[in-house]
Parts: sequence; C-alpha cells; structure tokens
Amino acid sequence: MLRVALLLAAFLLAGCAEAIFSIDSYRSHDAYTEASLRAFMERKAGGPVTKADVLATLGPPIRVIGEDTGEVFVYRRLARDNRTIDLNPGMVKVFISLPSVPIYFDSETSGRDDTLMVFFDSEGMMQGESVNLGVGETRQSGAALVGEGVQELLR
Amino acid sequence: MKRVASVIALGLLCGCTLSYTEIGIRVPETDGLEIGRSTKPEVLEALGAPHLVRRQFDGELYTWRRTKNRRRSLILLPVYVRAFYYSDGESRRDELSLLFDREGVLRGIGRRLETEERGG
Repeated sequence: MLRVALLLAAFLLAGCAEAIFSIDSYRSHDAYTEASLRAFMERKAGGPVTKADVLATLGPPIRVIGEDTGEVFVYRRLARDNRTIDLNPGMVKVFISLPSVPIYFDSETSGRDDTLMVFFDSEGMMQGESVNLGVGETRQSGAALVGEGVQELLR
Repeated sequence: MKRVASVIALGLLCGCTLSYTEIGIRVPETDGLEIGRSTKPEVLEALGAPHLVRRQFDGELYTWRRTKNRRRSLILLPVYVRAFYYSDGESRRDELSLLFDREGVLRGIGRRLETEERGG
C-alpha cells in the first residue's frame, strides 16, 4: 500500500515539469492616467510648476531619486509578456526521467515601460520632464500580442 | 455515468492556481487636512504612521501605501507532461503622499486609488 502511495506521489510531483507551450503575462499598476497627464499639462501651461502641483495632478510617484541639485519624481508602469514553445523528451516523466534534449525551443520575451520623470530644483520648482512611452508601441512583438490578447480575453 | 467519468477525467487533466497578495492597510482619508496650515504632528496624529518617509531638499514626502497583487495560472495535462501553461499577474496600488516643507507644514497632497475602482 505504501509503495502504491509513493508511486502515486512520484507521478504527481513529476507534473512540476515545464510545459510545451507557456504564456506568462504581467501588468503593473498604472503610474498615471490620461486624465492625470492632461491635468499636469494644463497646469504646466499655466506657469511655473511646484512639487505640490505635480503631486496634486499626477499623484504620488513610484520612486523619488535624490540628485545633487534636487529630486526626480519617477512615474512608471510595466508590461511583461513571454511565450515559450519547448519540445523536450525530458518533460515526460513516466517511471524514469528521459534525457533533456531540446528538440525545438522558441522563446520570446517582451518587456516595455512607460516612464515619466519630473525634475525639480532644490526649492521644489519643476525644471523639466522626460517621457518614454513603450507599453503601447511594441505591438509588433509576438509575445506582447499574445499577452495583450489574453489580457483582453480575461477582462 | 459515462458523462460523469468524462468530466472527472477532464478535471484531472487541468490544474488551476490563484494567488492574491495584499500588503498594507487602507490608505487614510485626508479630510480635515489643510494645505499651508496642517503640521506634521497633526497629520501623523490623524493618519497614523506612514509606510515611507522620503527626504527632499525642500522638506519631506510621507507616503501611505497599499498594494494588491494577483496571479492566476492554468495548466493542461499536469501529470505526465504539461501541454500548456498559462500565467498572468497584475499589481494594483493605492497611495497617498503628503509633502511637508522644512518647517513641517503640509504643502501638497497626491493620491492614487487603483484597488477599489478596478474591483480589486
């Protein structure tokens, strides 16, 4: 009886191998929204911008970097997608482990960031900002397409 | 009987996992706080201890934060070989940051609420 239970446990543990086709997708929180960006741009058009103005329009930064001349508020959101096709006899676990020899392996990872940095002087006055938009601009990536398709399906 | 056996067999071929992580408590309300008047001791007494304190050239930034993470995965044929594995994760965050000047007077409020508005 014990032998049967051990054999059964071994079978179940063997299930922890990799998959032939894997998809992994991750989305971080939104660093900023269209509405908050619009409010920020409107405030900027109205004259000198203080740190308090940036907090009120864009919200709390994800990160604050201290520099010699002032701080940098960092707003960032991330998207990570990966798809892997892995054909390998080592993944089949029946009594004995088969050798791990890749027959076909294809993996694609897509990592994109949207980053907004706002620079301040030592008195807390905004000196400038820098934007890098990547999340919506890498649709050519297969992994990104799969990840975003799955995200849409689950919504 | 055959149908029940098929459903059970199908169930054995699939595996699902769901995991949720929640860190931090609800972000406090800022009712009663007044920019240019409220002081650091008053704010701390009203809102409690912050999650983060970040020193600035012109004062300090106090932050209250709650993070919720969700990850779900689906596996097909989990016993002998996994034919398909899917996993997706998402992070949401509620955050309140208060900016104090060098004299400890409240100068700015920043707030972002994501966990409730997206049904988290």
